[in-house]
Amino acid sequence: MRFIHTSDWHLGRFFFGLHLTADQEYLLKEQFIPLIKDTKPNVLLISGDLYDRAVPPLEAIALLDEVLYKIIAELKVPVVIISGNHDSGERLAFASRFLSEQKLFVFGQFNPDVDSVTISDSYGTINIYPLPYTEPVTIREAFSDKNITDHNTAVSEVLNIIKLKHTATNRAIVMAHVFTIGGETCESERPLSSSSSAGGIDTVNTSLFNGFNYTALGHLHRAQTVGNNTVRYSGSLMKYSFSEANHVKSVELVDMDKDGNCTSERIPLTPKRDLRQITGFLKGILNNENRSDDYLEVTLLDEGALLNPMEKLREKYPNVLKIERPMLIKTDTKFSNSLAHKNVTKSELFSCFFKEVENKDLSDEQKTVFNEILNNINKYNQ
Amino acid sequence: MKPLKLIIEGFGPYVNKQVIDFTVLGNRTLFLIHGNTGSGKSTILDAICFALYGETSGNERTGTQMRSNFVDSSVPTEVTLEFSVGTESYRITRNPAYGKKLVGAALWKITDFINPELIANKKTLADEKMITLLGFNAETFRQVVVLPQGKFRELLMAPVKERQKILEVLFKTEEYRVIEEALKDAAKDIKVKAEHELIKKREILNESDCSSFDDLCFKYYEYGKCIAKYEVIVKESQEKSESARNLLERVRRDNEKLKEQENAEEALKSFQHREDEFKQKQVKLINARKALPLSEVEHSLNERIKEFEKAVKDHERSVSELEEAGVMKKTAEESLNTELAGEGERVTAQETLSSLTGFKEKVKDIEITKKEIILYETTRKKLSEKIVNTKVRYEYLKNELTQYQSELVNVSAIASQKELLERELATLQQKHQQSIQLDKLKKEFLIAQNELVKSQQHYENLQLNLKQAKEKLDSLNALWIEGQAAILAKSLTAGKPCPVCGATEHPAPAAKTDNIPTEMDIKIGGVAVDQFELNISFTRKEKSDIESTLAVLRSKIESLEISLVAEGDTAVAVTLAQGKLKAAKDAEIRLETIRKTLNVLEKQSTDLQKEIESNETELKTVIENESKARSKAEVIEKDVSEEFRTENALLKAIEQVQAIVLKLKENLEKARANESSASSNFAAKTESLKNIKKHLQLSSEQKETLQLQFLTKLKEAGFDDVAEFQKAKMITSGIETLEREISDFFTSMQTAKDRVGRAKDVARELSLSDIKVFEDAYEASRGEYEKHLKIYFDLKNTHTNIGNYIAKLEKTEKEISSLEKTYSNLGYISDVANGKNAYNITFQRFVLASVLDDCLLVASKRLQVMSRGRYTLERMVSAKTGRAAGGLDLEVYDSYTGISRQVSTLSGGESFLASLSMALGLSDVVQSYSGGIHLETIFVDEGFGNLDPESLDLALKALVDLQAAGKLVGIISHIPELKERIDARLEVTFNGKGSSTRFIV
Repeated sequence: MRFIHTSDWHLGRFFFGLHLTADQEYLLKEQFIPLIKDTKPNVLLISGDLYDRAVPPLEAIALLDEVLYKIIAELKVPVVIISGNHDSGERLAFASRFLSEQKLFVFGQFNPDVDSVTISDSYGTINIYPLPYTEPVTIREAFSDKNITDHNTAVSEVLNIIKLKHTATNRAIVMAHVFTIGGETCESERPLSSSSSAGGIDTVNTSLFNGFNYTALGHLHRAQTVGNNTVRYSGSLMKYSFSEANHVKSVELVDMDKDGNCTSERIPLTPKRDLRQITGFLKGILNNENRSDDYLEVTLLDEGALLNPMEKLREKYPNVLKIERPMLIKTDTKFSNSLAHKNVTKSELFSCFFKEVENKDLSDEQKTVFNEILNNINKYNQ
Repeated sequence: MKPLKLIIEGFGPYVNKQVIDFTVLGNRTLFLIHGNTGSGKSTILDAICFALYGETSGNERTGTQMRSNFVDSSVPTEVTLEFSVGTESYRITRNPAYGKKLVGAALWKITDFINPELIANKKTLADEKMITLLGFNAETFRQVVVLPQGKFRELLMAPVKERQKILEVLFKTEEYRVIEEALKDAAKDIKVKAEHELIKKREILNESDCSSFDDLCFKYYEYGKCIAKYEVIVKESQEKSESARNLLERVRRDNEKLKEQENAEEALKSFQHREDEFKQKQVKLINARKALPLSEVEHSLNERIKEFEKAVKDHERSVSELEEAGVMKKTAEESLNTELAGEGERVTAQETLSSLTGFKEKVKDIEITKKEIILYETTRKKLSEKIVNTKVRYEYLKNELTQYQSELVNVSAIASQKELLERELATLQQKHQQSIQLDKLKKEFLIAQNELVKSQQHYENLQLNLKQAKEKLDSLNALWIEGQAAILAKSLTAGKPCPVCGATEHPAPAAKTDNIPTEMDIKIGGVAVDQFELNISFTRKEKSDIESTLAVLRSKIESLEISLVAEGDTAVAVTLAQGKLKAAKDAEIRLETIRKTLNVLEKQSTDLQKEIESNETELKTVIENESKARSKAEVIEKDVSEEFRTENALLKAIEQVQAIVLKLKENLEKARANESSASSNFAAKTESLKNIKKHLQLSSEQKETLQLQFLTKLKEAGFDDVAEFQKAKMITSGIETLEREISDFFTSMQTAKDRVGRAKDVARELSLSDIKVFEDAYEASRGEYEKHLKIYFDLKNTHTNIGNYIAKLEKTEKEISSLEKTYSNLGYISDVANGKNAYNITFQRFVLASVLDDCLLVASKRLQVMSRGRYTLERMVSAKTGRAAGGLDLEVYDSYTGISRQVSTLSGGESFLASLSMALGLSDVVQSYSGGIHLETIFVDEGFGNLDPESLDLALKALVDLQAAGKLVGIISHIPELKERIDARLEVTFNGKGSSTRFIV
């Protein structure tokens, strides 16, 4: 059986104020759909974060509609979708019962009785178990189990039930939208629970997925394998932040044999406009590089003030999104701002002040005079 | 400050008591206050602000305005906030002024929840305490902890002075300002002091009449020289005057010596005059010495004489006493004898006494018996009276009884008739009824008769009618038949058989008459006839009825008449009979009462009788007793004589006799005693007389001997007689003084002699000289000397004065120079600290600037993230605006243009992000400063609507990151996106009558 695993399309995302829908359209229509046409998979798995927001912009919805139509109706490839933490699962799963008859399987809400999609191939049946992104609270209430307090326990509970229900002779694929321990994150991922503190509670053990033939994960934007070789993140469709500038964006093409062993290949995707970072001096950059429409983050090494760097850069690179000025010392103010005068005595403070303002040191006599006054004040206060 | 629980009532749109428990959030520290427009989201912030400070968060609504208009006047407006500052928890309750209620506040410290400790219970006190607790006032709170709706830009856009104020409060830089002030004051002080010193200097120069210090020195030097010169002069004149004085002295002394001599000689002369006198005194002294021992003897002689005289006197007295004693003795003896004679009287008295005592008992008995008698008498009298009374009553009662009995007889007679009368009455009544009935019947009879007549008439009428009707009908019938015939005749056709007769020819068909009645008419006629016939039969029936009734009535009347023959007026008879019956009934009742009374009376009479009997028996016994007692009394009285019959009299008598007996006894005793004492007295007196005689004898002998002694001694001493002796006598002390006088005189005379001798020696070769010449010379020289001395001293004074001035001046100069030196430093520092420096920045401002820099650093970091790397916040450094006012202005650096520009040029959403990062920056930095204020909470009221989705994302990310720092972040927004992103929510719903809140966690 052959299938394609992808995730984190984030349709409708804004990036520095720009709609990325055009780029996403390019990718999906010009690259992804031809790929499907060529590889002819049995099923397409999309592991969540289809939209970037709960209520996505209209263009994004139109795009998804078109793409899915093309894939399902024209290319006749069934699609299994789960909702992620960016999607609104309920909204995504609208009319899912009808859609499932047309081979578009959308799972947006947690179902305590396990959902599954069955695919048959020449060797037998394969069960695909979709786990849409759910807050642990919901799972806790569904099972009335007070021990489910975080994502790890929630997912493990659900997987246990799946394992119980699964017919051992069938092959099993799990789709989930989680953050596993050991996964590498980047800027553009929204933390899973807004109430979780940094790290720890929202992670899931990769060992939970032992026993499944393949685990199709979504949420992290870098394509990676975690733990087991069969537990994979397909990565996002395109680069969504400058921290991904060095990622290679791809989709997973997986072949599963009769025993459930999977061999996978990463098929890269080339977007119309790349996202990259340039470092250098302003003059150099303006002179050397060719004009490009790429989304750029420019790090200027110039010290001192520059006049209208953005304007100048945009003449050549209209899609410069961000300028970094690491060399710019913010002390063209005369006063050093790391005084930390919390730990400094008043007379030292005064000497600093004096020095800054009059540009000469406080003489000893002056120091004594100042200290005298200080003592008088202290005595008076006591 | 972290809110723990908020209770709102009657505030804004909240009608019922709302309890918002922030602890429900657990360790979630980011929560969303969500609800429709106007549901009361900002009111929650207002409530928190109001609870803490009494002002609302936007400072646009006053406390009074916050009173909910939905509540009725019974519901109070009150806000309670429990909050923690650091580790301690407090609770504050406030209510604004509304209606009649005044503004009020109360602050408790919660150490344990059972009894919080009341710290303040008045608004002003609570306000003060809150500011000290939290460390900042409402202004700062509004800028830093709560970013109010539409007002979040204030901190960013605020003018420098206000920002300075806020920063001052937050970072407590007041002390630097104090230092500035102190420096300024100190510098001023020094200036003032220096001025003083200068004035002093000038004064000194004025006084010393010099224009400068050098002048003064010169003067000093000059004076020194003058002084030296004069010293010499003074010395010389001094010597001169000394020598003149010595000379004068010597002359004086010589003159004195001579004078001395003269004086001594004179003194000696006076002594010599008195020498004789003293010689005489000496003689006197010798005599006195001689007389001394004799005086002793004289003294003892005098004593003896005195004794003798005394003895004589005693003797005389004793004799007289003896005589007296003798007399007394005789009288006593006589009285005793008389007493002894009166023995017989005593005996009789005693006997009387004893008999009288014997009577005592009897008398007592008499008294008792008498008493008894009296008692019996009185009882007897009473009883007899009683008996009499009772008898009278009894008679009276008997009379009544007979009366009643007679009445009884009468009444019963009447009563017995009752039945009879009743029966009579019944019959009478019956008869009466019958007569009434009879009358009625008669009336009916008449009526029936009338009716009969009427009906008879009616019947005849009807008969008539019937006849008429019959006739009519007949005619009608005839007509009809004729008519029929005519009709038939009409239908006759020749040749056709007539239906009646069958003839075929019709010669004379019946002609139609006009008034052929129709069948109807005939019917009507028939009906009328029938009707009449019916009526007639009916009437006939009626008539017969009436007749029968009449017959009945008649019979009845007849019967009644028979029975009521000659009854007369029954009604009257009835009433009479009724009257009689009533009387009989009354009589019956009366009978009853009489019977009852009779019973009572009889009972009474029997009682009375019994009483009388008993009383009589009693009386008898009493009389018996009385007579017994009387006889007893008589018996006793026989024994006792008349006058003693009463106890009192007896006792008196007894007393008298007793007294007599006693007196007699006493007299006897007395007489005896007298006699014995008198005799003993007499004996004693004789004894004493003997002794005294002896004594007298002795004494006279002694006197004689002593007298002789004295006279001999006198002769021996050389005195001729006693008179001489008396003259020479002198007391011892007198002798001594005389002795002394004499010796003194002689010694002083001797000294005077010596003096004379000495003086002569000394003044041997001297002669008197004129002292005046010497004196004048001395005076002159002395005057000169003094003159010179005075000049010298004057010079010296001036010289020292000048010296003083110089010293003072020096000191002043030194002072001035040191002050100047100090001032140079202090003034400089003070000026610098107060802003007179190249950058026009005061010390405090400098500190604030650095603090602000720290804040801006943190804020910029956040702003960078939120604005995708474009903006950072900076402090404006240009010192154009003078007077130490620069240094705290803000501007924003745009990395796209590389230029900084005013903060006010930012767009709405951008300025929201800038304010948010500023507030976050401030709170971060404040936390990290020692002695800092606890800003553990931040509320953001709207403003997220200004952001595009990506910025919203970034802003939210920044806020989410805050949670890691443990800050409580509350967001008020109506944006649905946020609802999905933030899972801890406080839903505020308005349900028409008021708002309610609910935590969804």
